Amino acid sequence: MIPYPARIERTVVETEDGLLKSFYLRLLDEEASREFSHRPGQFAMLSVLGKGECPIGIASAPSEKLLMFTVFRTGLVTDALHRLPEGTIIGLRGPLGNGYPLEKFKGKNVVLIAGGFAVTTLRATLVYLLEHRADYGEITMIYGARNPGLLLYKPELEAWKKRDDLKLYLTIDREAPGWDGLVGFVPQITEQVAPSGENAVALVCGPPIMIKFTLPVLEKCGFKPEDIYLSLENRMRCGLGLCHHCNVGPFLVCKDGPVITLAELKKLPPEY
Amino acid sequence: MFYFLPREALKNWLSEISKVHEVFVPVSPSGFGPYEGKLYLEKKTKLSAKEFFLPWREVILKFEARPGALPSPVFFEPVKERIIFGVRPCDAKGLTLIEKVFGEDPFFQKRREKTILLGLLCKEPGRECFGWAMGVNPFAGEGLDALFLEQAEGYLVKLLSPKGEKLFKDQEAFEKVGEEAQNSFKKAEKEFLEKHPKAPALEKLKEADLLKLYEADFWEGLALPCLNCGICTFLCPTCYCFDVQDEVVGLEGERVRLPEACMFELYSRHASGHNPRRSPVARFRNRFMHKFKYFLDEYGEPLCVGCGRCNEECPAGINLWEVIRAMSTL
Amino acid sequence: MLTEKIREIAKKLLEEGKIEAFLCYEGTSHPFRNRAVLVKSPEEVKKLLWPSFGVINLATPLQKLKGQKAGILATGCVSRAIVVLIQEGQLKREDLFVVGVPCPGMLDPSKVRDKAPEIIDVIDDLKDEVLIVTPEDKIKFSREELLRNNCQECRHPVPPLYDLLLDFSGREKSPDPYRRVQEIEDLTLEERWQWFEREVLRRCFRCYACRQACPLCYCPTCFVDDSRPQWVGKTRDLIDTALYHLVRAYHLAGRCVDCGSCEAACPMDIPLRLLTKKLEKEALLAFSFEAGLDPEAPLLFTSFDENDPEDFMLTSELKASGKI
Repeated sequence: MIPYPARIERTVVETEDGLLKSFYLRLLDEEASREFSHRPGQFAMLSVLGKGECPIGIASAPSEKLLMFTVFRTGLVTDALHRLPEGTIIGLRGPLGNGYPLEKFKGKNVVLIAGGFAVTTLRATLVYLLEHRADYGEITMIYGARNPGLLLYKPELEAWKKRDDLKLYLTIDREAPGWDGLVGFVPQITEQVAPSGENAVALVCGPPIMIKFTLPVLEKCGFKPEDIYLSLENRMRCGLGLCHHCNVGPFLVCKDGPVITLAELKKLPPEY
Repeated sequence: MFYFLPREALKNWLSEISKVHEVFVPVSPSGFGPYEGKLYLEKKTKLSAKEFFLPWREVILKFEARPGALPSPVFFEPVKERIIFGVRPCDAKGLTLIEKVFGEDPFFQKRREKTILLGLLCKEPGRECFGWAMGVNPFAGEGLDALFLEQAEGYLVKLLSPKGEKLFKDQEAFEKVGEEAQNSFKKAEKEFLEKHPKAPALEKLKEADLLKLYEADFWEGLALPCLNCGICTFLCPTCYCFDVQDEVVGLEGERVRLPEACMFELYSRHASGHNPRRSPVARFRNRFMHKFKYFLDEYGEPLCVGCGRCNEECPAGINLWEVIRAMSTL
Repeated sequence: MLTEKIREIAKKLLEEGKIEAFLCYEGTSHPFRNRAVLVKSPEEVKKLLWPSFGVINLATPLQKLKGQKAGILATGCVSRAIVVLIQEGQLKREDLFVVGVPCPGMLDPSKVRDKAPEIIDVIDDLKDEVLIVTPEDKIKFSREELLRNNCQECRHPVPPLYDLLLDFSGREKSPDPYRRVQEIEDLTLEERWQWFEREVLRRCFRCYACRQACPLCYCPTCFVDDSRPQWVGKTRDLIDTALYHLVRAYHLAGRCVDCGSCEAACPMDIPLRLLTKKLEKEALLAFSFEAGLDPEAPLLFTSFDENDPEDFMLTSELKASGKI
């Protein structure tokens, strides 16, 4: 498919080190813009013509007008993207991937666990859940970053803290001046908070090491592997299940994923 | 429907149709080229017919190389209708396997629609061929529009598709033949299938446990000599992985698809530097697991037509059968 | 017979615990392809043989064995490649037990292949004769006729580095190592470009077998794979392909030991070793330098001598400041 032209309406530098920037995009074609509908958990290929494409999770909820992507500056395309001023037109191919099966979570408690800048698609999920609050049970979010400057979506975090229909736990790795919240790694905080796995699903996104130590905690809390949802990442090229770059065993992250349950993941060869 | 072409008439006929169509034939042991009088039909070519459908440079997008340029929607390079003669049945079968994945890819499909594939049965299997073991019946001519069988006096031609029928409807050089000729084709097929059965290895692979295969200890020894180059991948008529690159010359830019091999280290390397298949053994294992387990599980057939090019050309002396044997006797 | 000697020494070294594994060659079901193999126990040594077709330098798979104490069968070019790898810090001398063989030269599969439509076996007497066995016949050839090009032009059949040298008489040094290079040098510039385009550029399909087979191409990220900046395009475009081959040859200047693995690995019979052989000649003429002979010696491009013919390093500063 060809990329849709999209204008960068606004950019926001999210973190102190400047490596994470949020891009608010509007598709130029009005009909395409109206018809674009995605599910939280899906991603899109952002295209910088002349440099290439990169797969980025959609951080905005389906109801939000502008499509929001939070991009980590790390390689050829993300570097080029970061240099583009507001108003530039880039390409967008999407929505791609499978997204979270939110209908399955209705009536259940939802626990969102995010580490570092993997919180992007969980933001989309949380906004959606809060818009359809009555459909879901208790909503818990545990979000940790290395230090306060690296937390994303700070204004929204403040607003969410004030809500009484959401249990939000923010944590940082080590003590920092001016921080009076929780201190500890995400797995440890999860253990402290100990959300019950009864009639609940857990959505976990973060660096491999965080996931490695969080999963046993969730197991202890009674979460079944089919109720724990992870989001895989891999090197991609086409995003359509053709070029085969993103395979984890028989599973193509762009087509069969990126969302996968722990039960399914255990059947895959550990190459991620 | 069957036709017959006398041996001496072949080159003449190719010249005739070249006047009206673009005709490609095997021109040397290396590969195909436009028909200009030279014809190499001794054995199958090194580069397979895959090159016509997954070319080494497929432009998927054009753009002006300035920041914020819009992609030009004109990206379908018009493909001229063409006839490819001398395609081996294994290559054509390979295309049908690739089609299971690329069925809806507009580039592959456009080339497929515009191409008439005329197959040529091999006189005898090559040293390294084992297509029948992979379930390929060359006489079935899957993926072909017509199949030529070389006999004493000339070529017996079996039509296999509406495209084939349309082409041969008014080819004067060919005469329609009756039952006797058809029976000789069936007889040749029967003899072949009796001598060359499907390998039991395939059934064993279907039943094998995926994770046990992955964790098996034979991979390291098999992968030691492997250079992790792209020879087996690029010559394979069923390997289809591609890379996408933006190429800019001056102010003109093109986004292109080009062949890629999962054997290369860059294939699975993330921008962060993390590589889930960092070791050469992991990449070696991945290629064969894909062909003989993941694809087999999903589509019921292995992603292999037994053409044997990988065995013939691997500079490190690796033999695919040894890998299949190790995988199926776990 | 050389094969017996190899098996004997490998068995002994493994039994005595001097090595953990021995890297050598084994036969395959293909009559003119041999395959590198690592044997870890004395019982396995019966797999090993003298590889008449051991065309991929064993120093390449050797680099997969880092950390293991490994024995390796080394002819001249294998040993020289090991020397360069030691000089460049890629291998540790203590990790290796080099079993040297004065090399009789190896046969070229692509020369053998063209001799008969169907070949069942190839019998190499390691001296003057090769028998090619077909279903109908046994055809005799002179060994020299079927020898690999780099073996015909070899100046170092005896390995310069070894822990043990097998008792065997190999080839003599070639009197005319740059014959084929000279043939290209004798062409006009236009003819040379045509040769390059016809023999190299139009055939190459960027499989990188040459690079992967070369024991000295070990960069974790090859210049072809760099993306910031991207130096070379990845398609089979002629200019990009030319850039790949020329730059790779230059990256081997003063390092290549002419083992011929690149040319042997190439599926399209591209005469690759001529590019690096030319640079080898230049290194010899300009700096009297040959790669891979002495692990203690400095490398060509990481050292300079006051008598080097290019004096810019010494004199440019002085010239710039007007002192000379």
